Amino acid sequence: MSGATGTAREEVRERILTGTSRAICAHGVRRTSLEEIAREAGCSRATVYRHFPGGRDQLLEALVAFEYRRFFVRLGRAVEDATTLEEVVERGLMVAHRAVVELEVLQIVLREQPELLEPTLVRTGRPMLRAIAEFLAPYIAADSVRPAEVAAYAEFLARMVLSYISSPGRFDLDDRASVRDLVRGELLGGLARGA
Amino acid sequence: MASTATRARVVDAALACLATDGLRRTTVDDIAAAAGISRATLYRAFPGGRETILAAVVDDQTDRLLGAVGAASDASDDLRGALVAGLVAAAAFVIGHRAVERLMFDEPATLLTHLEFERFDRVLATLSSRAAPLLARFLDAAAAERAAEFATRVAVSYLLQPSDEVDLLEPAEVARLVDRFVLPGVEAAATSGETISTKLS
Repeated sequence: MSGATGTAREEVRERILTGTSRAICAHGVRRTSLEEIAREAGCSRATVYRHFPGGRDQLLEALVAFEYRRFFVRLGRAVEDATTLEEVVERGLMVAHRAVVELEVLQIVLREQPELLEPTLVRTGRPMLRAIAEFLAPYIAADSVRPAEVAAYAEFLARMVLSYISSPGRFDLDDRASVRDLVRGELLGGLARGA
Repeated sequence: MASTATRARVVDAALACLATDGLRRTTVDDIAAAAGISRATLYRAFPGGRETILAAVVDDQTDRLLGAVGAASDASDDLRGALVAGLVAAAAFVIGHRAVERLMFDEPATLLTHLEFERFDRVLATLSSRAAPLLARFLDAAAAERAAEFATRVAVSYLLQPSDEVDLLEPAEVARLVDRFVLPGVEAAATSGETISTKLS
């Protein structure tokens, strides 16, 4: 549709990506065909191709990027009214962990074909660290850290927060006490000492 | 009977093949040829074939990594020194590793998928339980495991995503990182978990 506006285009794209996600949840990554995706999205195969000329591979990559953006929107909303650094990190860890666990399509991809995630994660790794660090910096500055240290601390904290969100290790990020233990210990322990 | 010596020879040969040819192109025949043994002898030592040989290479390299980190941290007489020396030794091991370099170039996803999500939880559990004894001189067992896990995350983060601020091969820069962020976190964790360090500081 040459006359389609940008928004209409976006809408179709989003519908195709949501359809892809549903198809993967129903059939798995390997057995999801373009036909399945078109059926789930309620459009023709030709429309899918017009939006994603690269076919299945391009769709899967776009889906990762799409879910990834939604994840950060959700995370941003969850912490926007927090007032202290401790609150931001605590709540952010819990919400982000839930989002990772509950995103069924991510769990399926991780089980079946985790290598699909790599191109996006590699490309976005650095910008993502920078975005989290920039988000945390004002809270760190408000928390008695020397101005010269704020950027460095923000970078370190962003790295560690990402690490725990993806792999909680010995901590239970569904449990507030465990999260608090982590935040007051490893993550903000240096701050609490008024370093 | 497969001797330990044969197994060790196969593991060394496999590592050499991985460094020159990469993972995908390394076959059992290549490994046997590099080890200077027959296919039959190789299969007697590793009845499971390629997969079990590769698993043995990973185990062996993990031992060597922990060995290097242990030697470096044992030479320090305080927690701070042990953390700094351990991080630098881990970085030196990984950065100079030809098979790792080759893997990152040819098929990074194979390695990277083990450094995220659930798979990384498993790697973390293995590495931190094995590195924890290195910190047992300074922290009680629970705090040492926590500290080892934290330090492992720091090493992996800075190795995967190099920082403009910190070069993990530079002891002075790592010392600054440890002083400012890592050690305060480890100490706060040791106290918050009511696992107060009782040994020397």
